[in-house]
Amino acid sequence: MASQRDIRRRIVSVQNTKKITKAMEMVAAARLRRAQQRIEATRPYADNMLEFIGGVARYLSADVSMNPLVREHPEVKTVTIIPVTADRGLCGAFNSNIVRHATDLVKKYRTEGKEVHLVPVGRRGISTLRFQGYKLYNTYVDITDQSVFLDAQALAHRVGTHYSDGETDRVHILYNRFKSAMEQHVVDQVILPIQQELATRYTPSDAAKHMDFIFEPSEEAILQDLIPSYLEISIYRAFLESMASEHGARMTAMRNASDAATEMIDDLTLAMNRVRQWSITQEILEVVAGADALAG
Amino acid sequence: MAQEDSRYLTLELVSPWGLTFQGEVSMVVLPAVTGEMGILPRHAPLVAQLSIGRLRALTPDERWLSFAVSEGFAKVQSNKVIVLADSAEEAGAIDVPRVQRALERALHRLEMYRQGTVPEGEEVDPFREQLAVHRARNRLKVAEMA
Repeated sequence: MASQRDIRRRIVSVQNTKKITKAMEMVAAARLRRAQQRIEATRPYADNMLEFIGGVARYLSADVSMNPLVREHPEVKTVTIIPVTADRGLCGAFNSNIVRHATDLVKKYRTEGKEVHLVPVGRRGISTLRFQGYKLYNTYVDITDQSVFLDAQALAHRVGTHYSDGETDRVHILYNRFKSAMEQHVVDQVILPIQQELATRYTPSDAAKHMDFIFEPSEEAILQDLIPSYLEISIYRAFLESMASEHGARMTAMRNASDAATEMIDDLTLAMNRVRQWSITQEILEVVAGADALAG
Repeated sequence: MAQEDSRYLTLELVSPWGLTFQGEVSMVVLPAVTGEMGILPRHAPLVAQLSIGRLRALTPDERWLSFAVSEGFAKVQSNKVIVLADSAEEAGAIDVPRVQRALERALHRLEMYRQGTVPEGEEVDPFREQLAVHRARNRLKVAEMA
């Protein structure tokens, strides 16, 4: 049976762990709030940009569907998959869900005889996938609140170039969409080719052709820059959702850990009191037995 | 009100970080890819591609506002200028030491990429770092001019 001192030592150790998980829970809560504000702040830009793309495309005589990022490749031979994970763990099933979905998707495409390029984001996904023996094409880490748009642009530029050069024929992004701190869903979104819907929705209508907008420098140049913006926003949104989900998942995981620690401390305290009581009883018995012996 | 409006333009400066500026101005100078472009009230409908640079706006009380903006677009329609930029900061709000640190970091990473001394397990995207360098330099320039 464990001695009183052993149990006390365990209680202290659990208490220390609880302090850490409690602190992490509060940090995650603060970051989650900031991430949610960030999503809010982005909305006017994203809405305006989509409206802008729609509005401009309608006035263009050029056909959007011929853009290299919109045009579908006749045959899908290579697929790029971007699993968005976090740099850090201790956030429940956040990272493993993404990795599992990614590996399932890789298997599915491989059985169809397609080549798969993995471009993981986040240290957790990178190390797990590398450990499982997957060859990683490119990787992105250290995405911070400050750099997230720049990183989204860089990734958009890279996959966009690969797509227009014909190195890949389809691009998936896998990320956790934020519902609440308790709930995140893995979303599998095809970002390239850019949905045909965009092209058809905004093919020039006859009436619009007569609107006389001045284009600086030219319609083609603007369209060529606008379409990638659409891709950038898709990736940027995925990153932001993923960041909010990460903090939410960590907050919940840490709250569960803190609760478990509290429970464990209660159990251990009970056990310790039992041991103490037992030893007191034992001592009394011994004293009484001794006294009886003397009296006898 | 329509009479009143035609003396001014509404400027909206939007970036992924939020709404940087919204208000009435009497003139906007855009950093278009084809060169600086002045927009006055009742300008014809226009869509312009913007480069990294300085956007200026003249307020109704004759003060110049200055912003560091990155690539983006401007749409001018019915006395309203909407600027969608990858980043937009008021000159006075630029945190110079932070921008300098960002610039040094990006230059350092580019240097590692060129020399092939990127640490094992890390990766440098030259496009990203190049973009970061351009933006940081523009911010510093605009902050200095203000």
